[in-house]
Amino acid sequence: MLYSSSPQILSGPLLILLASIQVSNEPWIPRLVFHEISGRESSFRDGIRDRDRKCVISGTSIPEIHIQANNWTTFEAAHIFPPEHGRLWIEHNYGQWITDMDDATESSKINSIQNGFLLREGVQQMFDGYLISVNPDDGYKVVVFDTDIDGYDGRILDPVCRNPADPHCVSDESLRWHFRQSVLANVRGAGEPIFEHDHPSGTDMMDKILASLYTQERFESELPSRL
Amino acid sequence: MSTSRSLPRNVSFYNATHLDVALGGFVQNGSITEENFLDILGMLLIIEEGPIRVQERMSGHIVSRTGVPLQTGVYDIYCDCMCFIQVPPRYSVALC
Repeated sequence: MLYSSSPQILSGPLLILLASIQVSNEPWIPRLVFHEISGRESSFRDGIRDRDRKCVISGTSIPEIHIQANNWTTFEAAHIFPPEHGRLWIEHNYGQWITDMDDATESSKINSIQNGFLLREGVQQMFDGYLISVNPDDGYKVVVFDTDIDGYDGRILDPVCRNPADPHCVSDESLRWHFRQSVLANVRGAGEPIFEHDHPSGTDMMDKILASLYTQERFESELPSRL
Repeated sequence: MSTSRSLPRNVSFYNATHLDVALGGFVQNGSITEENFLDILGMLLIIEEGPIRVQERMSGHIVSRTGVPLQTGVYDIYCDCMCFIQVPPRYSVALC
């Protein structure tokens, strides 16, 4: 308790502002909106499809007849932590979030089923752009950080992907990482840029990236998908 | 070509001592509670001292840790690191 040394009479409670407020400069991690699946990730895709069988954010189910026909059109197995940032994954030892691949290398754990779920294409674009996220610390509530034209805001992540009894259930830590990135992207200052995703045919993506913000980060994340 | 995330915002927040530049903002579609808002500020802000008070500018409503949906509007953030309370004449006491 501090005592004022100068006698004074106050007419009522008085607040004095002394502390300063600063916005954190924590780096934001931009990601590719589109990511072609490679052979080594086919087990990721198949495992996600087998576990979820629906878009776990919108709730849209795939008709059983489509599943039998192996027709997954408009449904995508989405990574929560982006695979193009494998270097960050290893640097920060995020492989510790994964509990269903004990014998795997740290880098391959990024393709664990626990680091993904099944989404409709449009939802995946929003998720990859950090425009929609899930807060694992508030009942797995879906938060839309853009105008909610599809009515997803406030939904609850479908339990099918987060059953604690399932060793392949989605990682809370991955979800927490994505939610934090979404806050950094959407809430801080003027917000981070939203990158164009609909490029005319013949567009040189590398030229586009080199002419945009976050050039180095986007170039480094684009490169592995082309090798 | 990139587009802006800030255009559709209906919530913005400011340092109460610097009202000229917004610290940030977001689109409230209805799911973000007052408690969520305080948690989000906890992720973004570095406060040197003391707790913060978040107050809606027009209504004067103070945000608290409740599940009540956050109202859209402009919020000012105060650091109440030193609070003087009235005591009998000749003495004033500051509570930290």
